[in-house]
Parts: sequence; structure tokens; C-alpha cells
Amino acid sequence: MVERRLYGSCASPGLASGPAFLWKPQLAWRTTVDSAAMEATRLSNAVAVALRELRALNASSTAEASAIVDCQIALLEDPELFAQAHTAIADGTPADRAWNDALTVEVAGYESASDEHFRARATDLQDLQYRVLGHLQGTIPVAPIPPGSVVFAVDLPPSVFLSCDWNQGGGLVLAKGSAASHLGTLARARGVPMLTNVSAALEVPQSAEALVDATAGQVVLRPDPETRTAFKTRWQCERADRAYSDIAMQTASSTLDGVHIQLLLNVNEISDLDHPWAGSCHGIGLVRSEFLFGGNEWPDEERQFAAYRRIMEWASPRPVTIRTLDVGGDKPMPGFTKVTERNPALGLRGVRLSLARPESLRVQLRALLRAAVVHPLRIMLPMVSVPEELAQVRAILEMERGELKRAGIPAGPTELGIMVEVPAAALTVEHFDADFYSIGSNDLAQYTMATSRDGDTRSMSFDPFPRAVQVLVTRVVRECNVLGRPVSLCGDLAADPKWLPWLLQTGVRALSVPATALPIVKRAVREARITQCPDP
Amino acid sequence: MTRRPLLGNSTTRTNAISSAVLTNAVGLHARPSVQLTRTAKSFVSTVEVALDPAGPWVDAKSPVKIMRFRAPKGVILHFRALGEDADKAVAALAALVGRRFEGEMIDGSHG
Repeated sequence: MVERRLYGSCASPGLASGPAFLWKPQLAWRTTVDSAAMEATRLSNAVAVALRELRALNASSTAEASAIVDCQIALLEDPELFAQAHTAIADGTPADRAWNDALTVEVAGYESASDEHFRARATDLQDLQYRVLGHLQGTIPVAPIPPGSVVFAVDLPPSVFLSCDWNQGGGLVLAKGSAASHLGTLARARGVPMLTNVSAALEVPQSAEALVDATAGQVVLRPDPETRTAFKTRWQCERADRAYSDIAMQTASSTLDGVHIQLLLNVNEISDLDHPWAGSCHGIGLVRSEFLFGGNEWPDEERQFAAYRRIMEWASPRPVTIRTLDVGGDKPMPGFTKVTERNPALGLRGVRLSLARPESLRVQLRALLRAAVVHPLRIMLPMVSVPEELAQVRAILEMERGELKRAGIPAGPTELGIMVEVPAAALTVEHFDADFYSIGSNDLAQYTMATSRDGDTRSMSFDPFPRAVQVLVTRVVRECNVLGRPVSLCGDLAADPKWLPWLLQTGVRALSVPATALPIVKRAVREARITQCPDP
Repeated sequence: MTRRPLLGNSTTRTNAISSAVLTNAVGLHARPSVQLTRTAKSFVSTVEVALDPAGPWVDAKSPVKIMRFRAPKGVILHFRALGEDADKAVAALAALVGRRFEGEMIDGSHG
């Protein structure tokens, strides 16, 4: 018996182990057909039973699962779903085949959609298809899944997932499936590891021992002893980390000597808000607005406004900082940034580019001003090097505020601040009249050390926080504290527990990190004692 | 029980039209479709929806029909209603679309 490895895509991360269980719907077609009236009644009765089952399932489900089952109920109550089936029944087709054919056509319509989300709706309809079919044929289409199994299937209907007991572990390995499906949503919410696009999923022997590493996108069947041991070690580490992280999310982020540190979130795109740990942040420290500008069309004011407002509503009443468009240099944007620059990293980018293209800046500022109606909003400027740049943007901002007022469009209070990432700004930060400051340690290190973060220099020993940068960070925090203005640090350094004690003793009290880093940083904060932190 | 659009002149019935841009992340799929039909069903008027003012118009009270639209984010949904509460119906539907169907966390979000 040889170990076998199958590969696929991760739809829900995590580890699982257990006996393989192949799930395949069994269908037993009826061989006789009754009168059209009887067949029609048969279908109506089967649907009624299915609806009762779904409503019962709803009663014991989480809110998320309920929403999915609600959709199925709404579809099943829609006469349109049976229109084709009833026509076939009137023509003498038995109810089970009539129903199956009608639904197969409907499902096929979704499977061929170009959008992944619409394709994923096919499984919701298949779920209904099998459920009603089971009642029409008088059999349960499939055997119930034993708890703790690693289920192998082409795809799994959401309602089947919901009626399984996942408390004893288990996982999902699908030949098809999609992370965007309702099943994917449910699996992630429930913490059940799930792989999709594992083409050989149904060639697995029933009951074979299976180890799933969904995060790594693979499943091992009949593992060798070494594989099994390595898996067990990873499993134990993951359990411990997860337990710690979950607890950490509920605790306060204060040091051992009671100093509260503000833990803020970095947001690269809207879906970052969905991360299970995102909600525990004290606010959003950085929204990289570039995600809106990546498409074929320049997002107009309405589109930007909708996105910013959405973020504000998610975060409210917590503070939100949105950074204006930061492109150019290593972030080219066709049609907007300059194509031929000898030194793009030092050329027209960030706030300089925005000031050179004031019309687009105005649109973004208007959208931000309007979103500030939800809650006061912090607008942050990237790549600022001289105070004049800040002053110019402030003037444009206030002009747009006036325009909005004249047009009767509501705008809210805003603060205007800067990223401190250009060495010039770090060296003269006290001359910038900003409402707040955020140290962009990645770019600051890059420019200070004249070293690129990517490219050839990666092969050399790369010190992420050299002394020169330490000096600048210390200086910026000190000057901001003297000014009495808020200062935070975003950038990879904020998420590095090794450097946290050092950062805290500089006086920084706000850090902005990705959601995945929130637990580690919080843990480091809770284990730090500021009075005992190393001197700069 | 299917409802078909009723053409004809009745003094107690009004015609009403509205439209709204679909701005929620993944467009008009399962959950928003069901919310839309629930709202439509709360009115006695016949309510229809189309992606283009010229049609084709489909019954907005049928989730199966609405889902078939597969309308992605950015399209304009047009509503028309005929009946006593037609004005309220089209206004309510446009408002629902305008506030992105509220509480769509299930469906994932992408930019």
C-alpha cells in the first residue's frame, strides 16, 4: 500500500485527518408512470416535504447557514422552478425524471456562467434537485456521512454539509467545487478544511486513511509513518496557535504595565474586512485605495464614494484612515503614470503625481469628503517630501468641501495627514502641519538605505531594520509627540514581535497591521513591559 | 400562482418606473435576488424588472427568474409596477438596490 498525494485549491484552510468517505448520490429511477394528475401530486408532495425539512434545518442553524437555507426555500417556493417539470408531467413523464430533467437544465445554465459566483449557484440548485428527488424516489439519495470522515465528492450540497456533525473533525475534498460557493462560505465559517479541483477525488478507496492539508492544497492517502508523524506535529502546533489566537482576540491590547496600544488594521481590498480577526481592530490605520483603480475604467466619484462609505460603515464608530492613490514608481498604472522615467522610484509618484493630475485628485477627495458623513475620516497622503505638497492638497481639499456645500451635497469632517516614508519628511517632520502622521517603515527603509526591497538585493543579507532607520523612526515619534499630534507605524515592522518592545519605548502607541498579524502583535503587546524595554 | 403583467387602463391602478445601479460586490446573485423578491412580494401591484428599459421584463416576485439575470455589479436594474401601490413598490426596490441589499456578508465581497 503506497502513499498517494493529490493536489487541489484551498477553499477553506486547515488540517484534517480521518477515513475517506466517498459521497455519491444514488438514484433509483421509477420504472412505471401513473396518470399525469397523480404524478403532479407526487411532485407537489415531495416539494412540500422538502420545504418542511429545510425549514427545520433553518431552525437549528447559525445565522449564516440560515441565510443560505432561506435562499433555497425561496427558490423551492417559486412556481417557476416547476414550470418545466409540470409540462413534462403533462406529457406523460414520471415525476422524478421530469423534475430531474428540469433542474438539470436550470443547473447547466449556471454552470456555464463566466462569473465564478454565478457558477457557484449551480450547487444550490443541485442541492434542491437531490433533496426533492430523494422524496420522489422514496429513497435517501445518499448514505449519511459518518462524523470525522474526510469526504470525497464531486461537490457537496450545502444542506448536506449543514446536516453533518463536524464537531468530531473531518474535511472536504472535492473534484470540482468552488471557494466562492455557499459551501465554501459555510466550510470557512465552520472551520472545516476544504479542497477543490482535486480531479482524482472519486478514485480514492473507501475508508482509506486521509490526511488533509488544505492550506498547502494537498491530501495524502495511506500516509507513510514519517508523513503521519510530521502531520501530527503540525496539527498540534496549529491547534495551540489557533486556541491562543482566538483567546487573544477577545483580550485588551495593553502592556504588562497597563499601557494601551492601539491596534489598527491595514486594508488592501474590501474582502480584507471579511477576515475573521479583522473585527477586533481598534480602527483602520491604512486603506490602500489602489484597489479601486486597477480595473479598465477609472472609478468615478460615485463608485469611489460607495467603496469608501462601505469601509466607513464597517468600521464605525472606530477611526478610519484612507490613503490617497499611491501609484507610479514600482506601481505603474497604464494611462496615468509616466511610462518613460529613468528613475521611476524617484519620479512622478504618490502625492506628486496626484498634484500633477489634480482632476483625479479632486474626484478622490470629493468621494472621501462625502464618505466622511458616516464618521470623521482621516485622509492620508503618500510619498510626501516637502511641506508645500501637504499645503497644496489641503487647499484643494477645502476648495472641494466648499464646492460640495454649494451643491448641497453632504460632506463630513476630515483630518489630513501624511505618510512619513521619504527620508526628507522624516528629517523635517516637525515642519509639516499635518493632523496626524504614519510612518511607512517599508519605503522609509528602502529610501534611507538606498536598497530595493525586491530584486537582486534580496540575495544579500537583508536587515529589515538597520540603525539608520531606527534613528529616523525614533526622531519622528519624538517630534510628533512634541507637536502633540498622533503618530502610528504601518509597514511590516509593526507586525514583527521581535521589534515591538523597541518600538514601544520610542513612544509609538498605535500600530497598523494586516488582520492575520493582529493576534501575534497583541500577544507581543501583552507580554511587553515598557519600562523594561531596551533603550534606543 | 403566477402573475402576469396586466395591460389595460384601470382608474385605480398606476404605472410607476424606477431604476438603480447595482453596486454590491458580486452583483445580483442568490441572497440579493431573494431579498429583492421578498420586497416585491410585499406589494399588491405586479412588479417587473429588466436590465434594459426596452425589456425583456421579468416578474420580480420570482427568485428563479431574477437569478437567471446573472446581473453583475455595475448594471442598472429597471423596475416597473402596475397597481395601487406601484409608486411605493418601485421606490422600495430602487432603495433596496441603492443600499446594496444591506447585510450581504454571506456572499463575500471583492472591491
